[in-house]
Amino acid sequence: MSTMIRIRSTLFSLLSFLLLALLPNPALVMAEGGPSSPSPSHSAAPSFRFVPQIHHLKNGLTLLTVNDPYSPTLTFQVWYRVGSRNEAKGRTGISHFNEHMMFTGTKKFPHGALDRLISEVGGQNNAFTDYDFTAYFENVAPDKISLPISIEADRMTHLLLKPDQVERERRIVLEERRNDYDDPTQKLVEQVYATAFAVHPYHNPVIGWEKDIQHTSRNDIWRYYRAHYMPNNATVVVVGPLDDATVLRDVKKAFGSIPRGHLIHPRIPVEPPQHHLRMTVVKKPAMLPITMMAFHAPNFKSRDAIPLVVLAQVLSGSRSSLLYQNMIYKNPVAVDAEGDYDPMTHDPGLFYFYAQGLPTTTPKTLRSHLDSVIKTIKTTPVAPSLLALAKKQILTQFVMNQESAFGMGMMFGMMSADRIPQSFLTDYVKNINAVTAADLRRVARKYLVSDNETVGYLFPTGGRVPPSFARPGRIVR
Amino acid sequence: MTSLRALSLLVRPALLSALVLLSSCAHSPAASSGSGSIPGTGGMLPASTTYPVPAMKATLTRSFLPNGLEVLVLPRPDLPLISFRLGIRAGSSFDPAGRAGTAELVADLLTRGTAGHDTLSLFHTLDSTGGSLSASASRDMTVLAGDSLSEEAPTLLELASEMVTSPTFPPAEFSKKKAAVLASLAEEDNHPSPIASNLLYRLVEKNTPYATPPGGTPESVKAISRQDLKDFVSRYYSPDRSVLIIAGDVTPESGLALAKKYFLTWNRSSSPLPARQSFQAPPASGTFLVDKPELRQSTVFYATQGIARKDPSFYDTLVFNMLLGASQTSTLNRVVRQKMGLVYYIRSAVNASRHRGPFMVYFQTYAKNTGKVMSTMNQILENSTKTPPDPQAVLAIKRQLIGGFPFLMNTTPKLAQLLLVIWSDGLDYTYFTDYPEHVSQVTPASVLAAGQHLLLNHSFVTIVVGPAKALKKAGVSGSPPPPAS
Repeated sequence: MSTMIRIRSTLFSLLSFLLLALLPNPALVMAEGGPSSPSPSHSAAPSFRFVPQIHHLKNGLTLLTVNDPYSPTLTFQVWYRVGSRNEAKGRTGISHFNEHMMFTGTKKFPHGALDRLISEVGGQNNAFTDYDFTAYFENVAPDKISLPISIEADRMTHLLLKPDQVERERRIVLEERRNDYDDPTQKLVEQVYATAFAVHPYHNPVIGWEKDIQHTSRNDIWRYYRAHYMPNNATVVVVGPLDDATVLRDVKKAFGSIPRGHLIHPRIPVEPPQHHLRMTVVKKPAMLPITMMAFHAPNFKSRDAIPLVVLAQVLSGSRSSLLYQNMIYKNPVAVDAEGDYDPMTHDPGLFYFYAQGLPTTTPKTLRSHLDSVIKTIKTTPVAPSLLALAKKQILTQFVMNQESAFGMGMMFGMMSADRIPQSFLTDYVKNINAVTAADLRRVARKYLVSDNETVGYLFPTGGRVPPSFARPGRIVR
Repeated sequence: MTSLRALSLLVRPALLSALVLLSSCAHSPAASSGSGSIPGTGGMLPASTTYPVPAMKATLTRSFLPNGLEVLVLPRPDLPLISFRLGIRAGSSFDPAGRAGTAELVADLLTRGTAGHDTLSLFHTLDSTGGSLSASASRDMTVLAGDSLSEEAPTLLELASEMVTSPTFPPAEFSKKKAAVLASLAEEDNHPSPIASNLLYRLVEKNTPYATPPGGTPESVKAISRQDLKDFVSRYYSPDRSVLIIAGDVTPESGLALAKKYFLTWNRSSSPLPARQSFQAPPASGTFLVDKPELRQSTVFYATQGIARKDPSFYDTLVFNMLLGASQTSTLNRVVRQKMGLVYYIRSAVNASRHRGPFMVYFQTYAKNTGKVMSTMNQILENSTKTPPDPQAVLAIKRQLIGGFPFLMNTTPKLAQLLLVIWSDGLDYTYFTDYPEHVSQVTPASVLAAGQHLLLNHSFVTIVVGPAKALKKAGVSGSPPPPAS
């Protein structure tokens, strides 16, 4: 299946911009059968094509449709509000394991049937698991929507989970883990997250620890499936050329009879404030050194989230960015240097820096350069031209992301999974435009401090495995 | 990183699908819904021709500027966005002997300075648009790709024009970029998939222009001088070797006007073109093992010479390939992953483009299972040439190809990229309407014949990158790879 790329931040940006334009009315949710179709009223925003319609079925299922008449394809997605964040100790990776099992068959659609049926209509299907959610999708021609409706309604409740298939899928998942984590950089990322989060489940990799994957039983998966896969824990998102009333009718027909489940909300440990610098070191065969510096940061619920989004863009969003100019262009010490932040997480996450050095550089040198850039942000106002440029790049990305029906579906699905409050979204563009250089300095001084920091070093040991950086999460079947 | 880009070309099913779908233009009839003269032969401005793009409810307009630049405009005005691609027949297969990596280094440095902009000014002008403009080189061509809001497209087109007509290759930038490329190559040369892929091309495409990696080797990049870059541009960057594709928020008239405004004064190259090596490679065989004791998995590539996009058998070959290992329902995936659970992925690919490229099967697996997977793979390949495939399976793949066609063009950047590949591979622009007809003509018998043509009487190269000790226990051994000539 295809490789996912990191898209969350840009999707978020587009989503919030769209909602700003399309959803000025806080009364977004309508009763079953009555769609809401707020009209664009924000004169300052670019004109948008999409008008989302949101419905709540009686069994708790949320349906969100977007009519995009320009798209030649349609995406049908089901988002479950469960991911590695919800996993118990000793059973990490079960969300992803269960995601694999969702393709192993029901009585109606035996193993292999889903792929075959979707392929035969020229469609695409896949799934992905993250910290906070698990999602399944089918991209098909608009007149083939009945097929994904039928498939997803069926496997929400009728998974067979045959023992022999569990064992076979376990081997595949272990191969998948070896694919990713033979890489020394992935090992470093895994260790940085595990060090930065002491008690919160973001401590664990989404794919799970190898021992847990080996020990997860068929009964574990069955209990997990029954506990989380139910209409009142899911959102169906449909984007493409469609008629909302017809989709609502067909979704109600297929999903409406599935009973509401009893959803348990076990307490997720809250990560306590960090009070001292933490370090982790990986020594493995590699060609280039790497330094990762991660700082605990708030999620979308904080007023600081918006300045942090802009700060990440100022740091590494372009050739004019601070890290590119300071570490790659003017004084080359690295082949890659980035700062990244994702506000769309259920719980507070990390603002992190990453630098992959030239062969003559050491991890400590990279850290020194990153520290220097951080110090500059804290002491010197970001140039107005750079700030303006960063904001324009974010706005341009809003519009570009509207082109893909699948991308739109991802945005709205993520929005639903993380329960993003409208107040945050409707104010998003205004708040982006309001960010000042002083705001960037303030949030840098507040969060980018050593007591709040976890540093990870990858020391090449002279062997021959190169690093390749990818943020954890968003793993695909 | 370059290494990851190279890998992704091999492992992304979406790209594989694009590859095989594009390949289906092999038998397209000569295109034209209008009339026009061949560019550069008569001196007059040729008439525009148009081609329908039904999946997007759009029309493609093709024109030529007097300097020979081909201009393709595809309006899709639903969003205020423009994507453009400037393609130049100046890929790595044109690199001078002993200077592999030249085309890519030229492309990397296009954004580092022009007669009108020094490096920092160029960065700032480009970034201020909020859009993107990048340059890269593949084996067949160099591409400048711009994506932005409509209002910023003129700025990016002007920059692109400067980049191809007056690049300056500032000495300091040349040194810095060369150091960065060498660092990336050092890294790439030790990564399992790039090692295997580069070795595959070196052995299977031996003595052809495709044999060397687009990024070059540490030795070849060290040998490249600034003068080499200037010579390369002078020789190959010419409007009559190029296409400008503008898609999105434009009309045929406004798109052509933009092309004229920024590229009309681009002069044709007067440098003579050197003769190229033949694309006919000698047969290669053998198993080669690259020891990586620190890994738990092995990476295996099994390859032979394939065919070009315009090969008469390609249409049937693409269906054969889909059935074998390029789809979710393929035999390799069904048996080795879904039944045996031995791999996360196993795929086959026909890397055909303007010229013949390799056919390959590739996978990663726990080292101890390598022999078992290789044995199963060989059995599946052998069986695929014995009897015609199940007619229902062929029908299903044909439906998949036709039904999946719109996914190649459902955004403006994808449309622009698709047009670029059509141009590069010398396919006809009737592609958008001919496609279903070509797919529908494939039969089980023609698929079998294509598979036999591809696999029988061919020698294969096997490349294994992994821990030799564990592989030996699994019954897998091989020779050290031969040194590059």
